[in-house]
Amino acid sequence: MTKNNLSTSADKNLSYPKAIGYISMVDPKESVCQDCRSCELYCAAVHEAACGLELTRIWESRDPFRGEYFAYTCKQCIAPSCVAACPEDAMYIDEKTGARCIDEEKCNGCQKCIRACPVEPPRINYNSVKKKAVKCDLCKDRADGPVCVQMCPTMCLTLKKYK
Amino acid sequence: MSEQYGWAGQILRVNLSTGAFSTIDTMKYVPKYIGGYGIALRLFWEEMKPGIKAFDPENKVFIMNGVASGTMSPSSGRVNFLGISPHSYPEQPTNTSIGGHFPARLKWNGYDGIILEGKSEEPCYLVIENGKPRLEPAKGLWGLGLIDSQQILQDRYGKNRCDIYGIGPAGENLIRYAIVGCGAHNATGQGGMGAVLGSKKLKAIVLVGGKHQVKVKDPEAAIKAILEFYPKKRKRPMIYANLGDKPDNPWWPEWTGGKDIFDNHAKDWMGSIHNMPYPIFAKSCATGCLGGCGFFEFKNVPAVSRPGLALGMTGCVHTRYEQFFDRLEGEKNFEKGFEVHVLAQQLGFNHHEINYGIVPWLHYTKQLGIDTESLMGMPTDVRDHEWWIKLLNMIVYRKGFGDTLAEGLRRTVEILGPEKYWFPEYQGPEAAREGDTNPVKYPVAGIGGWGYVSRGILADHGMGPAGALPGALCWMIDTRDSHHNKWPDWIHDQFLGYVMKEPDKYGTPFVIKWAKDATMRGILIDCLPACFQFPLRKHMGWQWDHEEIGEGTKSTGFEARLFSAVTGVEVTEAEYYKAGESIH
Ligand code: SF4
Ligand code: SF4
Ligand code: SF4
Repeated sequence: MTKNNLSTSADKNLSYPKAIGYISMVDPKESVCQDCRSCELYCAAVHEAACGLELTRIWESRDPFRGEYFAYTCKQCIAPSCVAACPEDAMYIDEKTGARCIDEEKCNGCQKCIRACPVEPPRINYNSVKKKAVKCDLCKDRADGPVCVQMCPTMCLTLKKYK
Repeated sequence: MSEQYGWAGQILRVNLSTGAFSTIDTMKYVPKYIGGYGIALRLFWEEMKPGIKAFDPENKVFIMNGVASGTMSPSSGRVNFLGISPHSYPEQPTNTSIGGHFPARLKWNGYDGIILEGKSEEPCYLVIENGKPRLEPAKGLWGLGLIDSQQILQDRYGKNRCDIYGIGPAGENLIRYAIVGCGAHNATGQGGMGAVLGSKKLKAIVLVGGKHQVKVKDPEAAIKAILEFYPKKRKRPMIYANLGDKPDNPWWPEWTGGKDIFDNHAKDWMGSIHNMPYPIFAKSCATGCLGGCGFFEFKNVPAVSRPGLALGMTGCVHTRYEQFFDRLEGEKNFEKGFEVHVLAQQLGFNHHEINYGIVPWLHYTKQLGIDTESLMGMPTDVRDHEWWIKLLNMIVYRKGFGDTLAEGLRRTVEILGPEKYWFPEYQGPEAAREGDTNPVKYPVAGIGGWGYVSRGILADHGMGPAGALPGALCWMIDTRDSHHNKWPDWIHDQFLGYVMKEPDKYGTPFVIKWAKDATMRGILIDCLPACFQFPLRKHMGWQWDHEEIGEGTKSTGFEARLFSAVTGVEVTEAEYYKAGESIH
């Protein structure tokens, strides 16, 4: 695992290395979400060896009465407010992928990162059993890459590259 | 309890008479009974005394998810309902299943199942919020449509925060073939479990939140196994096409496997809807679905007889509503069928009984000059959508002859006299698709095993032994409609192959072995659980890197591997099959 490369809080005000990209949906003309929640389940399973609502780093939003289905996750922001908000320096930038990551050992469960995330709903989950925040790390430790992209049956998820 | 994999470890018991809640320990029953239907059956035989009728407060409903529910195991978003069925003839234990995201959320609320017993004095609904159950009054919901009442509950408990199973007026009014449904489409189908919930005055079950974490023994091993039988992935945009036409349908070659013999099957299954001016979206109907087997969701379809836009899903038995209208002269024919379809779902009917049973029966008796019109008090016209709306309302509110039809077609012909109203043979165009297919030939009442009207079983394929025998054999050894857990194409293909090649159709052990294997596989699927299309249908537009997987011949082995990957309990395919035998 890549270690924290932001040594002090002061460093966080400097610019952050960009992530390679973020997980996004493809153009609906190309393919659409079929409302299966596979992305959520595989995401939780490969990170936690367990599945549950508090373990997933990606969410499918569904309204079966209006026929609206889409998935969303962390944008791997260029200037990530979550990283800047962490009082424990528990958040770090993965060297290989640039993913904004949480060091589980350092996280004290204060949830300040969740409150700092500017998108609605926030893209960080909270595991109330372990009392740790969890978020998308672009599956940086997986040889096959992002498992949500790998297993989505309709191929409607992609790693959208930051140029 | 927190250390085990897969199972949550407890089953919730809800006594609707007293409002008391208790739990029982799942681990007493596993791994021997696997989960899902296996445990439900075991509990049924432990707890149910002989002589209990479907609408007695003593009838219990065992609602069980499975060991794989709430994990990434493919197509695992199913639960089983088991109880004494009011739909079955005679009333007897029957199981059925339903999908959606409720099964996973039940596990995430910390339960492997719910046992409903007793009967509430007043209409109520059950809420389980982060594992904690409570009963709420349902006065403002009782009488509302299945879809409308769910929308109110979703607004109350939060979008993406809750999953709901409910009943419509059909369940409330004890229509023997009422469904339990979720969303705009999913249903328990056969068995009349909606009427059993209605008899208990239970309008809905709402699952909210859920903090339980389902441990998976070896996720990467499970992914490896899943990828082996994962169909070749393909992008799935919205499609603008007439699925009933070969040149238009992008999946036609795959639906039919390039074989002419499957043309009719492909049309019958999903496709034969014409003049459909809306984009087609193949939506999954359960958590973890690998492919969206071919149910199509349409939204913003204008209603015809009242203002408003409708959303619904069509496919399989549902397409019949649209097929009754889609080739007529004039305007808005798809919309007329769709409106009737969505109304039937709102009211909470089992579509088989309506559009393979009652409506064709009224049509065929008329063609043969058997007077059912004076019973109905109106002329029968299956091409008039206003007629359909009147019919559905007559049945659901038990008005006039609707009160008899509410008992189901099997009981209706029993009351009227089977000699005149069941056995006469109709030969001619099929009710929904005049002029489109070969003439059909069968009794006027399309009744299959145990009094169910069933698509494609016994009564209505007209395929001779190939159509009738598999269903008959499965019906003999199980009370569930075999169409719904034992009937993927590959099983049918095997049987068809046998019928084609074998000169002595009845003198070989093949048929017995076939029926037993089909039943075991169906049972094991209901225990894991997985959708019965698992591992997807060969003729549903899917292809595999290893073509034999599309044939499904090793599918029980896949299920055994998934069971091991999720639970850490090593089983061979033979051991898994044996567990199915002991459950049955
Ligand atoms: S969690 Fe929120 S703030 Fe942090 S990188 Fe992701 S989207 Fe940006
Ligand atoms: S890339 Fe990995 S961590 Fe991020 S949402 Fe997808 S599966 Fe989850
Ligand atoms: S896996 Fe793909 S199709 Fe399924 S819910 Fe996620 S984004 Fe939608």
